[in-house]
Amino acid sequence: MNTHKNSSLHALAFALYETALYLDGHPNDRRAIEYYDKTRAQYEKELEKYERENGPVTMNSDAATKNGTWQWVNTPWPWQNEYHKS
Amino acid sequence: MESDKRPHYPCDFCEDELDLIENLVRGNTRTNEDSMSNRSRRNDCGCNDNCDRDNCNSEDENAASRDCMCRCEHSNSMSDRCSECEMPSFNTNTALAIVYSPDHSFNDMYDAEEGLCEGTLFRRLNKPFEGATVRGGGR
Repeated sequence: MNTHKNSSLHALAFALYETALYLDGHPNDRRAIEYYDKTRAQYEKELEKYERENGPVTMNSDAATKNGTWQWVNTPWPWQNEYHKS
Repeated sequence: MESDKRPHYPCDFCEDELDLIENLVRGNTRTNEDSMSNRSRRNDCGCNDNCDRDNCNSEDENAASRDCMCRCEHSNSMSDRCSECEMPSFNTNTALAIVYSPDHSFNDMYDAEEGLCEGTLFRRLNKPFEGATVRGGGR
């Protein structure tokens, strides 16, 4: 089973989506379920780390209302931050 | 004996049919033509009369409904299976564009980063388009 040591948030989201599509056709595949759970845990971890540094990734993210303000419009857009330099 | 009554599987004609399909899948047109020639020689249009593919004089209404094309002699227009060997037969009632897919197993995978670059998490589903290379002689 693969692990994702230094995968980007984008790559982890892709892996989750691919696995979800597989699970649509194989809902009882234990290896796929295990992989999905592990990947999702890592995705959540990377998401939290990214949003702490860059603001919410999506409008309905927990980070959108951080500190009692609407962070969605108060944090840099992807093309305004360091996203492309990393 | 009971075993003597059991049909040969697949029957000779269905075997030709399977060869034809396999060659079509592989794009082997030369062998396709060979198979078609074999079929023509068999003159196996499903009727019992002497007829050719272009001018069937059979009184068999099933043969007429098949347009006297060379198809399994054991099949009829009401069935999708050869009555002799149970192989699916491709008569005029067979739906077009129905394909098969082998079961997909959860192994032989890329890691997330590589999967994102390749466009799939599964190595066996990675089918890059190579037509330009084949036709153009290189990219």
